[in-house]
Amino acid sequence: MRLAKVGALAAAAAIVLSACGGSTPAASGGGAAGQPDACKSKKGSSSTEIHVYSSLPRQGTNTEQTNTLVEQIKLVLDGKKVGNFTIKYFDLDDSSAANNGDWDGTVEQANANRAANDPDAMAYIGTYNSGAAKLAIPILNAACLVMVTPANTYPGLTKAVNGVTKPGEPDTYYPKGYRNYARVVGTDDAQGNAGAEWAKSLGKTKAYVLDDNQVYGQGLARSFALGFTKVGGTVLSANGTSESFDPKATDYSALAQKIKAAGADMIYIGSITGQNTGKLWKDIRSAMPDITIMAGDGVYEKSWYDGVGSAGNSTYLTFGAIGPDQLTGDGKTWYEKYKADHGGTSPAVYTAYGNAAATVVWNALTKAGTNDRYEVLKNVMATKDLATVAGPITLDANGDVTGGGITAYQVQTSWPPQFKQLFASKGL
Amino acid sequence: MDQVIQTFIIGLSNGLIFALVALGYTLVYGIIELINFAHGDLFMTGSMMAFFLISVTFKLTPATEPVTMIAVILLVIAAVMVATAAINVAIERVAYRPLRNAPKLAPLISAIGMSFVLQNIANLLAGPANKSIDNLFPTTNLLSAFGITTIAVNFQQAFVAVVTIPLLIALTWFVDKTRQGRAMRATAQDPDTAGLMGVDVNRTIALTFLIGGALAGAAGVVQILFNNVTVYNLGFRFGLNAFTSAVLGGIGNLRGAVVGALVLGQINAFSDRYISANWTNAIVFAVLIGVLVFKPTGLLGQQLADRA
Amino acid sequence: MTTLVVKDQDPYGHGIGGWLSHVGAVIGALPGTYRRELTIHRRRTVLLTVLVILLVTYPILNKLFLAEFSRTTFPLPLPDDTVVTFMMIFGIMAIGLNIVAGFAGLLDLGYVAFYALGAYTAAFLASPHWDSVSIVFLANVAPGFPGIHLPFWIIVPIAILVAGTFGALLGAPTLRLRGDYLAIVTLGFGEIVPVVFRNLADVTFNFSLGPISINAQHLNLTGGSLGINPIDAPYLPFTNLVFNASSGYAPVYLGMFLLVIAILFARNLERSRIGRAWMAIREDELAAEMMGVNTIRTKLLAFALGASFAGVAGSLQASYLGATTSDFFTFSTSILVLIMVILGGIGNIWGVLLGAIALTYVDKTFLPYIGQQVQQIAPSFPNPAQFNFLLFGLILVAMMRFRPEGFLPNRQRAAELAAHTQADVEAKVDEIVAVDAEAEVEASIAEDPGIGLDNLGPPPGQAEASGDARAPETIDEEREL
Repeated sequence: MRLAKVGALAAAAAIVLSACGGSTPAASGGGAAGQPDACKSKKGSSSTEIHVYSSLPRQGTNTEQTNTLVEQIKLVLDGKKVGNFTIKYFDLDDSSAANNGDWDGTVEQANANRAANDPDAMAYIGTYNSGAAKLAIPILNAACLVMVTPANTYPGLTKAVNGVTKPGEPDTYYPKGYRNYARVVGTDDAQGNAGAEWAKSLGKTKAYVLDDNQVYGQGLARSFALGFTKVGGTVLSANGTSESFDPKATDYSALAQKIKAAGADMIYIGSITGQNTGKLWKDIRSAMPDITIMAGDGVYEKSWYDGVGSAGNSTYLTFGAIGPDQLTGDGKTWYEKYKADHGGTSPAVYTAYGNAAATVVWNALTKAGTNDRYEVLKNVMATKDLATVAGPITLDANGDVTGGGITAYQVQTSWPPQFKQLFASKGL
Repeated sequence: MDQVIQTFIIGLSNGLIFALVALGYTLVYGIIELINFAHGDLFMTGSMMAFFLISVTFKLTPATEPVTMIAVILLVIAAVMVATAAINVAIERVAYRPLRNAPKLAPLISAIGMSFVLQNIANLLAGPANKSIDNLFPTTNLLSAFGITTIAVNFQQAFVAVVTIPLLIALTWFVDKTRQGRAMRATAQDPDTAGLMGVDVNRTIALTFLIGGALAGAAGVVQILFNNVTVYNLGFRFGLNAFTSAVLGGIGNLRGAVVGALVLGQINAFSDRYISANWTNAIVFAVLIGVLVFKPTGLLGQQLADRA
Repeated sequence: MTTLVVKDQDPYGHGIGGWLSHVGAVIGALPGTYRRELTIHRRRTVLLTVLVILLVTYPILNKLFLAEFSRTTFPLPLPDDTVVTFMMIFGIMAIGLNIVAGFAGLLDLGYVAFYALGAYTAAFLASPHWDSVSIVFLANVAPGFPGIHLPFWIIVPIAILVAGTFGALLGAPTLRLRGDYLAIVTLGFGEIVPVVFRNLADVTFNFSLGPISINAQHLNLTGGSLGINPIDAPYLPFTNLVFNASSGYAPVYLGMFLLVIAILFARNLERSRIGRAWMAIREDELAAEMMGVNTIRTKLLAFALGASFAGVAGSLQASYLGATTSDFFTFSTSILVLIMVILGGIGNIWGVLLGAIALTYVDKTFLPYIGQQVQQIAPSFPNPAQFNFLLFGLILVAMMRFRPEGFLPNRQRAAELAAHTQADVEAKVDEIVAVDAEAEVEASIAEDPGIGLDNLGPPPGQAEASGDARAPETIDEEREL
């Protein structure tokens, strides 16, 4: 009916290029021609303050990671000066009790709106969960507010991957036709792919792939299954890709028996810690004491190991970027200092990326030197060879980090696991 | 065939744990017609206590001397049973007794509230992550002594049977044969008449909660020794299964709860093994509705209480 | 006798047409009733009027200066437009659950299932999900855009139908059971529906019967764990008005509009023949059956109608958020709605509404705010927001113990809940037997507490007659003891 309102969605891909300047995004500076309508007159109202928001789940099992993220963001940004402006940082919580302490769509949207409606907000750091990012990106897109995530790994937020993302992604998230979202971590498809490569180099040919039936776990497990098939392996799961286990089940012995009967020589598990992983690992180990288990970074945390105990020993773990202990240069200094400051505790895996995301924002703010959202957005999207504690960061036109690596670990008999190998990060 | 037997064994051991929890539900329901929603969380509390006693207080490891280990486990079972029984009696006193003559909805809602309170206290004290202990039993296959290697029965599964079956028999004997058991059955049938006949109704109900709480504690210890994992929301997972078992068998009926739990254990295991793990819950639910439609009082019908 | 009374009370006939004219009469009689309420219950009416005006003007006040003040001068825990919209959504749900649990006394622990059904109805009918077809009708997208795109105004009635149908389907086999069985079956249903939506993302089946052969490979029916997005936002055809998270306070008023309709509908139901039958069943099912109430049909209707409210709430939620996934529909949501109903005053529409608004505020604005403040002062202290449910659990236990009728009680319900001792119960039974059925019905009408909308059942023409027929005050007082 209303032709005037025609599909921002369908046209988005084309506009992206003109808005952000293709492979060298927005390098041409604030020319009025390239400036999206949503970004016109987005200057802050305060002459002394710049606001930066973060939206992360601050309850339940998530706190192990997010507490350290917030700490790092504060460290990099809070109270710092950009010209005449002082950066004020707001730590928002996107989880709610109504959702069992996990991210809540309502709260995420309320947070995004709060930042969008604050004229002095210049950047939004988050989210932790890719599902929440889906809701926040379009709101911030309409408000010309840049979003930098330290943790979203679902590929469909920035690019289309056949067999993993849905049709229409990622353009559906950018209703105004330009990109305002960047991430400093690699995507699930790269991690799954590296896992498949690693499995092959370990001599595995028959994999049983399981997932926790959630966005992250399923995306990762499917990526692994696709990658594993590509390198010549066989996936034994019932539907040929990845089979979901029920995180609310009380027992997985029968599932383990099924896997054993299928004759798998390895099991790949895409899951996050909170999805009953303790029981799953124990039941698998009890049925098959010697089988190879590989999993992604959703379980790369101490609370996972506390939950699985010795059943987690010898598990192969991949991490979707450079692991904290493998960082070099500034990163190494940062890692040592972090441990010293925290009584010997190693940082959680995403901690460095909280710092890196904040650094990307900090760099863009100083380069922009003003409180104009569009200037900040352009400078974030144009991040190139920026030195961060997580290594040098260069963003491509999609807002994805280029290069980088996937780190491979194996649990020995205690936490943290032992570093094994570094894979180049490449998508499916 | 070996595969089927193996699945049956898995289902049986899980069914026995469900039975221990289901008995607590059915016992309380039988006497005051209340779905004691907090029972599953009391079971979780028991397994949390057992976790701390085993791993923090006594620091049991698989290397501990068998004699010490058995002594400590017995001690832990006794201590946890006493503690959960006391908690359950206290809950009854605070949350249910004042509502005894209120409409049925009131104590049920109070029970849901209690369930959340227990769950969140555990979350507050123990944190949201899984807590695990090492498997304390030898990992050998018990059947290998008989020359069978294609089917495995491990020590944990045997342990569950060794603890659960005597408990079930003792409980049935208690309710059927003892004076107190008779008082319980009388109260279940008609509290007023029982009161007139000299039964101390309040005491009998408190006793029921005491036994139910002790059962939940025992089940909690058995579950941590069997599964080696506990977590603050465990009560909800098991509670749903156990309650479904009780309803399936005919709530209020002790034998029914056991039958229902064993059936449910098998449905769970066979669905996981031969259908798909993520459809198991839906299948359990469909079976429950099916049974209730054709046999509204459950598989064995209601025995203890039928005064609707 | 009974049938005659019922006929008098139900002059508009049945069906949607009858109901619409009924609602019309209700709205027409509003000013007069409001004046009357103002003279009879002066304090309460004034208070509620102030509250309603505050609620209606809040989004505008917030935009004009409150939000600005909170941002620049002093941080206040102010709910923003999203949270206020969700107050409306949860208000609709609470009113719906109140029909099931409050009016008919059936405990539904899986109410979230119908919320999910409403949300997925919107998702199926207004998104690019079915991308092999293109049906665009009065929607905010270009013709030929992939997927089915129907306007929100058509989706809402469909969601009502879908949720209501599932309510009836679930109720049909289970309502014959006793109350406790119903609780567990609904709890199971609430657990299963999200699982089904989550699992049906990769369906492969082969079906052949003679010449008919259906073959589906990897059919994505529900979007699986990713859910479905983007869902078209509600939008007013022929204007530019879109109700999504970026459009400020517009969705708040859309929510309010739907909420007001829900309230009107629920008020009318409560007062209708079916409403009285529900109360009869709630008080004594056996007696109600004796009096000629078809208990199964009546309960089924409560279940289906209650479910349809959640359908509306769900479709609004999904359209407003623009995305849906099964993660949004957990047992804790069911319980939260139940707590809203109980806290506010089970059986009283205004009470449950108050409960919904208060608890949504506590859950989504107040506790996160407190959490934020605490984390700033003492970062190592556990975030208080995550112990929400400890607080809610204690509220449930304490409310049942000390004020089971809730903060804004329904008087009839309160009397029932207050009858704690056996003697009371017996006295009440005698009393119920003594009061004849007709007087009972009238009494239940006369003692209704809410504001403005009270006693609007009869049309203006019959208002006087009905007023005469109203039960004498003596019965009202007698029932209260």
